[in-house]
Formats: sequence, structure tokens, C-alpha cells
Amino acid sequence: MKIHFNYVLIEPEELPEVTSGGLILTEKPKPNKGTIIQVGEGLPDEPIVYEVGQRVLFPINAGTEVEEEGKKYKLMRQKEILMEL
Amino acid sequence: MIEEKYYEVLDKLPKRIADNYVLVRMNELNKQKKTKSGIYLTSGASDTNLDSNDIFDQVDRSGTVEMVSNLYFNPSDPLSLGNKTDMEVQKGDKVWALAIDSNMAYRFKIKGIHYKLIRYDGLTVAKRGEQIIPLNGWLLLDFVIEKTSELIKIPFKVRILDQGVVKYAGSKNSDYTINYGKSMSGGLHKINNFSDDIDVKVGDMVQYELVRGERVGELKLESDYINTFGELLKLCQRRHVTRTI
Repeated sequence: MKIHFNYVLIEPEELPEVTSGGLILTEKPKPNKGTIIQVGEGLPDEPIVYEVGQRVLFPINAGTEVEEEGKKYKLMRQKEILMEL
Repeated sequence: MIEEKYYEVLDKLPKRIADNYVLVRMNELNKQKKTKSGIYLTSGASDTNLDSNDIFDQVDRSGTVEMVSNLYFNPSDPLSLGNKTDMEVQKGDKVWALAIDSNMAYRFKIKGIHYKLIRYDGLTVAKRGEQIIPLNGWLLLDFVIEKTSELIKIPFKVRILDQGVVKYAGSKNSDYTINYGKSMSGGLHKINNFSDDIDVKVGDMVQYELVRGERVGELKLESDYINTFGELLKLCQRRHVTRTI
């Protein structure tokens, strides 16, 4: 898989399915944090500002979910990332 | 009332925030407060504006800027800021946000301190020292009061809803993104084409278009909860001014 333009590929962090109070969640919580594992080349007027390995936070509904070799990733524009942690 | 559970816990401040956002350290919540008449408010009540039942007054929407970013405007991009303007806030400024933007902001806390990541175009006013800076094309107006007491012999005053006297005027937005709506034929048509290009100065009495959610445009600055200016002012977008009186 190769990422292009101003897109970044993020490996989301798995969230626990049991709350701190011990409740088991019926629906798997959507992750909002992850680590950048690949970045695109950037655009002429928008260079990529993130680097591979950075931990970031994003809106839970941002980007597209992509799957490779049974693993789920988030593909999104770098501007959709809310903050670098 | 702001529910603590909606705040995610992070261990440290972010290294970088996204374009078009401002990181705001929110006013302290859940602190016991006292009204002017000496009544102690409970932790929940202190977060609400007791003068109003309006839901928009019941969210926290002011705080101190902790981090700023670059602004990004591109009318054809859905991630763009809604209006073209300059970044006018800096670290340490006190800012007020529109209730809806404050309510939708990503929120977290670090060591018990509450933060929100608020979009810049959701900010209305900044205060730097004694300087009041309306942002994003907003005007701050004094209410125009009309006396209507002659018929029933009881003196009372009414605020004229769509008029005000400009008390603080910020810089203009130089452009807006264009929203499109569906026309009756099924195609897309422009539903707005805003401009801020009018001359309005402090002291002008203006009439403005009442728009949806007009209650959002009032800043309850006189309440304890956001008591900074000690006065109630009306918020009005420069683009909604219809005439100078």
C-alpha cells in the first residue's frame, strides 16, 4: 500500500471494551488516537507536516477505514488530524 | 451543566494542533460560587447561567488561549475556515466562543484542568488586557431601549430586537466560503454570498437582519459565570447589518 498526496495512514490504537468501572461495552468503541505509519508526497501548496511514528488524535468519524492483511487502518487528509500528542 | 464524563483525560498538552483551531483552557468548572445576594451555588448550578433557560447559555464557552495554529481558507475545501480572516488571538487572551462551537469542540482534561479545541471561526470575542477584540467579523452592540409605558401607566422598557449601537467593532472578513443548497429544479444554487464590506464604526446605530438562532448572538456577560465585562452585549455579524440609522 502506498499513500499519495496529502493523505496519511494511521494505525489506530485499540480501545478497551471494558470500562474502568468494569462494564462490558456491547459496541466496540471507535478509536480517536493512533500512530502515523505512512505519509503521502504532499501537494505543491501543502507539504506534509507530519512524520511517520508521530502519535496523533483525530475525530472518530474522520477519514476512511482501510484494511490490509486483516489489520484495520485509518486513511485521512492530514488536515483532518486534530492534534499531535 | 457540563458533564465531567465528556472530557477525555490526556497526560500532557499536545505538541501541535490542527490548522483553524485554538486550544482554550476553559474557565474552571465545578467550583463553588456565590451569587450577589450571598447564596452558594452547588457544583452543577455554578456552571449554568441562572438568568436564562436557554440551552445555549448552559454550556461553558469562555476561557484562556493556550495554543494557536495557522488559519486555512480555501472556498472549495470542506475543511476550510468558513471565513477569510487573520489570526487575531494569541496565547494568554481570554476568548468567548459561540455556544454551538464550544459544545461541539473536542474536550479533554489534564491534571483536572479542562481544555477545548475550538475552531477559530467559532470564536466571537477576545480580551487582551483591557482591549476587547471582536473576531471573525462580529460586532458587539449595546441594546437600544424603547420605553413603552404610556398606555398602561406602568414604566417598563423593551429592547428593540433588531437594532443596536456599535460598541466594539473588529476587522472585516475578506471572504466567505459559499454554501450551496438544492434549488426546486434539483440543481444547486448559491444560498449565500456574504460580504463584510461596509463601513461601520463605534457609536453607529445599526439595524440588522434577524437570523435563525438569534438567541445565540447574545453574550450574557453580566452573569457570574462569564462575568468579565460586567455588561450584557448583543453579538451581530457585520454581514447581517442592513442599515445604519
